[in-house]
Amino acid sequence: VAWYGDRKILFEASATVKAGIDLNELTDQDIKQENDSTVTIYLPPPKILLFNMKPENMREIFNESGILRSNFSNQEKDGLLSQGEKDIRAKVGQMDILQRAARNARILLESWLKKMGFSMVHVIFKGKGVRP
Amino acid sequence: MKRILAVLQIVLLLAIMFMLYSPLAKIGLLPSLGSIFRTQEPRIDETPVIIQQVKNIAQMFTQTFYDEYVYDTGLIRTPLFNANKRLIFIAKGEVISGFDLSELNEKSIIRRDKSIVVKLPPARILDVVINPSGFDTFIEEGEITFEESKKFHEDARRIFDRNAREKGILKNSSEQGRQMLEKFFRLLGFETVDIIIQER
Repeated sequence: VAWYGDRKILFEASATVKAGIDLNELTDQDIKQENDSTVTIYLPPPKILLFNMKPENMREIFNESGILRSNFSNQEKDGLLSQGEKDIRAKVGQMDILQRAARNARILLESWLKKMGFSMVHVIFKGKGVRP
Repeated sequence: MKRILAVLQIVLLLAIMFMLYSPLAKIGLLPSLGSIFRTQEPRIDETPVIIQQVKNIAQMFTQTFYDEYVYDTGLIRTPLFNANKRLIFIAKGEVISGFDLSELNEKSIIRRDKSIVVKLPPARILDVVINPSGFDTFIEEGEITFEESKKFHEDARRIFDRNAREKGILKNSSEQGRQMLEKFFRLLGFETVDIIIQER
């Protein structure tokens, strides 16, 4: 940071992302029961359901302003954190979170339905790109 | 004549100052005159996003309560010689409630032919979400530190939680959960579906 006129700030932030299935999208045609013990469920593709950046998980690590510059205002800090939020949201899409969500949804649903007495459970995801 | 001499002296002084300043600016010890007055676009460095933890969860979201709140810290008095502080911001976000299905066990689901009984844990607030983009500073007086601002933002989240509870989010959530699961089990071919939600 130039002592006369630069400003630099560094934040550390963590976010919680929850991905899953929107069961509201499930229709009558998506559940096919062949007999009392076999069922096939067509699930909608998983999606990001929640993105949460809690204030308690943010830290200001570094904040320095040159003598000819004003300090970062609260509004500016909020603006920068919003940019960070946008950045994390964009990067979440490149992670394999949706595949993991699909895998977990399949395991959960299979175990649930087996508890209910279905011995054969087929879970199939609709749409492209999901192969858990 | 005196006035001309004074002007010449000032011009000479400025010229000497400029001559001394320029070489120092060139080697980087002093900023160039242009850069002092020019405003630059903020530059954001690329930093990696790291996954800290991946957890399997079994939550069922059944209600979302959207809220908007104007938070006023009021005048915060500071010690002598410091400017008093005040912050007013608008917070926009949502409260999500539902069920944690990981609490279900073998005894929670009872099936008899075409009848099923499902015992659910009580509905609860699963998340209060106000992301940085949900905060909009309206008035800012004095120097509010980041830690102080965080405290106010956390307080706004508590207010959202309280408002949602007062508006009956948990009751609505239970009802919605009951309807969702009833529909799901009926689609699975059950003729009698009984959803029992535990009282908190």
